[in-house]
Amino acid sequence: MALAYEEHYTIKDYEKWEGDWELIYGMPYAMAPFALPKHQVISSRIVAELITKLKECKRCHAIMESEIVISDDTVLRPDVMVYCSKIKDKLTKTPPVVFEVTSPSTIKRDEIIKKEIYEKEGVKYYVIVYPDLKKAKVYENKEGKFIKIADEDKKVKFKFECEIEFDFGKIWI
Amino acid sequence: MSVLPIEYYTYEDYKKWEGDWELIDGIPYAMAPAPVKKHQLLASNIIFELKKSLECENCEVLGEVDYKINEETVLRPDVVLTCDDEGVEHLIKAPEIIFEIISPSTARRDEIYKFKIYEKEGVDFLILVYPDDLVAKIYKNIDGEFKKKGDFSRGVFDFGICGVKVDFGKVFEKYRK
Repeated sequence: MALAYEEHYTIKDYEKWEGDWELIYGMPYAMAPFALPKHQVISSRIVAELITKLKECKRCHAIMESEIVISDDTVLRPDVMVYCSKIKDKLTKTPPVVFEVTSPSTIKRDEIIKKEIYEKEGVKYYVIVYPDLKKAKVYENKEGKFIKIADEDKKVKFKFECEIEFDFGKIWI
Repeated sequence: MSVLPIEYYTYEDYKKWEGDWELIDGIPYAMAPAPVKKHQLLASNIIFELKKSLECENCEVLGEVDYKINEETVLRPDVVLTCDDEGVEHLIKAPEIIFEIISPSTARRDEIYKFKIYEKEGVDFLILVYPDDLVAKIYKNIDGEFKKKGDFSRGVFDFGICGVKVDFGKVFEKYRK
């Protein structure tokens, strides 16, 4: 199906929008209208686990719901990311690790379109979290391709600027 | 580069969004950011002209009201004259007259896509107002097709609906040298 009508927005438009949006290839995508409590608890626990494991890794930070500017027409808001460059108002460097905790209304976005973008941008590890299934799919970027390396495993090693062992056992409720 | 979206939204989603949006076939479109003063003044003048001449009590003149066409399409015309519409939160039937004041960033949307939707829905009159050129293009719906009635910079146009007339000389007065 072809789109009947298309307007292409840029980050300049995006910055004027009220409310919560992502901008993907020039199109607006609404953030889930309100985050479910379970979604929030799991996101916070992912951050907590990352902070614990990143203690020795001074350059990298765990960040929740921040914007990452991919290009002039694409701005994403991952649920959680590890960011290893200088923290500025606008984050523009590729994060080595991204977690998306799925919500029913945005699941396809996480599984398809954002996955493609993260893969292309060279995100090293992409984790899609399914709160109800207590399942996390972990993808590792190998030469520009996401290869699945784990599925609900207890502990997974992430090797980027630092090496951490992330314990998925700690995030479920 | 353009990619087909993988998410389509409905009126239920639309209602929850902050800020100003239209929804066309499930896709969100941003309203032109903060209409400029000229745009606002032209809209007020049009509303004033319509109200001044309106003779029917079952009709209303409204600015920036949502017009819900179906679950996937909600438009927000600049000015409408609507009769016997029983919608509470938004218009539920095609208004008799719609004015769209053209902004550069949304010109194509008004001239092509909203034009076609209004035409198909049976809006009787569509007026596209061009603030830079101080001209209004009036289209009348005849058998499901918008036919141009003319370009108005001055002079009075009588819509033949409840006595409603617009004096375009007065609408554009302030900006004409």
